[in-house]
Amino acid sequence: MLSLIIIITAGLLLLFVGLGRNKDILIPLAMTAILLAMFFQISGAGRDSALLNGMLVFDPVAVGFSVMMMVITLLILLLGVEYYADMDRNVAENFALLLFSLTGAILMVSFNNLVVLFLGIEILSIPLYILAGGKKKSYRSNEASFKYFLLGSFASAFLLFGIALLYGVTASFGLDEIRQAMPRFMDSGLLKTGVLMIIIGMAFKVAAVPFHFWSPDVYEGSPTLITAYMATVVKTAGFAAFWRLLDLALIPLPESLIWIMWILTFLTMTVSSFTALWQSSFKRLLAYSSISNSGFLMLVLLSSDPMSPATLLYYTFTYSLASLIAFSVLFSVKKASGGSEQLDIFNGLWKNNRFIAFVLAIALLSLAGIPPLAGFFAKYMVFFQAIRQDFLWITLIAILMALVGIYYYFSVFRFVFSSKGEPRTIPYPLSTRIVVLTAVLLLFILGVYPALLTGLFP
Amino acid sequence: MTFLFYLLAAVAILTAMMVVLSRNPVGSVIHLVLCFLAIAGHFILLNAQFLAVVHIIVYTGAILVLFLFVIMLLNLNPTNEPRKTPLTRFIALIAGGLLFLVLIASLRGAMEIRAANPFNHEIGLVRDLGKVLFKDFLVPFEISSVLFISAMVGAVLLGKRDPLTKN
Repeated sequence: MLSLIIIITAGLLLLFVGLGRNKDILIPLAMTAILLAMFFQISGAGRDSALLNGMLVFDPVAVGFSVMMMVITLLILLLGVEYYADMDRNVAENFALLLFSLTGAILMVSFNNLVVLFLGIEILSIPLYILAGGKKKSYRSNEASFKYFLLGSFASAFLLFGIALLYGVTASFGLDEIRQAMPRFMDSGLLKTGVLMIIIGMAFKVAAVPFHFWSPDVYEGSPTLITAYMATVVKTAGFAAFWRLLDLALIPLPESLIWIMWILTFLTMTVSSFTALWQSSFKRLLAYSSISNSGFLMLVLLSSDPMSPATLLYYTFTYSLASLIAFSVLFSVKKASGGSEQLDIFNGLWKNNRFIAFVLAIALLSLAGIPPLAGFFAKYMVFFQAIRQDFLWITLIAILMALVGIYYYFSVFRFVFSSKGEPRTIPYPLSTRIVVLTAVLLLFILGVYPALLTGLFP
Repeated sequence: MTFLFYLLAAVAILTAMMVVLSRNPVGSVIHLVLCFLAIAGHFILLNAQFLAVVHIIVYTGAILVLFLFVIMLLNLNPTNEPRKTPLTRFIALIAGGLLFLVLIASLRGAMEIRAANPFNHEIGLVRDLGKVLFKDFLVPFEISSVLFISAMVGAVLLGKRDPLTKN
């Protein structure tokens, strides 16, 4: 709770500091706040306040996910040094909204009551609707913001309707009470419809097919830094919340709903992987890669295994690190080549700048799942866990889709290592270098020694 | 009591249908007002007086007036309305119908669920609501302020005019 208060206060403070137009202290301030919050989250100060009244529970899984999201947000703030360097207006508001959104994400991973889940999702989303429209002059950014807002509100309505129906059956919003009441109402149509609506709402938030149509357009239109935030922190929060909801309250699901989850998982993996093959824009490619990773993560949700939270944490963390590198490279190269986001801006990157080409290669190799990088172990753990639950066919399909993934990630290499492309200098400031190097290092360390993360939850 | 319920339910459903079917946007909004009033009547029947009053003040008072303003500002003519292809309409009809069917089917079993708590005729009073809000649901109540401040910051951020058009 203390960490939440610190982050919220820092957000408010940033708004006031922004009045003074001293842009340079904004990022250090936000980073200090997050570091402090991280410290209190780990040390557990104010964790079991009686005022919480069972609304939030900071169990090890919640702490693990929230600290991980704070780390990613720190890295994103550091990337912001370069991103907001030549922007004078509204920088403080952007960072404040980012912190508010992080608050929502922390609520989503530590809720113990459906009211808090709904509030968390809204607090996460509403700043994002605004941040997505950050480039006010850009038509695509406006479109992204508006589309995200409309469809997001629609999904929230579904979620809220589902929560209302579930309340009608179980007479409680608390996860513990719902869990106790579930077996008695297994055959109730009202309960099934309620849970179905909740699943639809959550599936929209994590961009599972067929509720994914917003995702590529929103990713493409939003400012790149915000897209990076959406692909990492928002995705993590969505899956952690989904897992928490299923594990603490709704499992075992009624039979018919399990089938719906299977179909969602299957569609998410296949449709996104094949659509990614036809993308010519790097940002859209990353969007579809994010959707296909959602598919693998859905597989983790389906296999209710004691290892699930550790696998989820490892997968989302490594995926987030690799995506961060990819987005930061995209931003730098895009800036040097006149704002295009097509794949051909990477033409001859290896000739121009060995360092950038190298980190991009590491990121893509990790996303594709090549050992010894962490992405390989993430996928391996998902498949291992699914096979242990006797999910043979869906695991085979998942492995096939991972192979398709290797193809489209590697298609970027065609451009990076081609001899075409004119020489140019790509600016790469120190702050971005630090972020990228940290991420690459972490990808190697976690790839060699996965137990660092997976050993967190006994 | 039962007669009132059926009357209000009939009014609510009819006006809700008219919101969708009405050709004139302003007519839609007027019907929406009636629909919300009927729902407020339902709240009173359920002993939720505070909720009924808030519902009337916030929805019929504030939000729908805003709706009317926006509709008048937007100048909605039938000519600049996007046309849907017959195929889209057909798919939408099927999907909407299926959703309707699922909801009806789920309500079929609702009668068998007995009320968890005995009837309490003071449940909707402001005092009881306040107790729940400031005791049991204190954390969500306080945290919702973050939601409102971010919405407010966003409204200012998006609505503010940039004096310099540098980029």
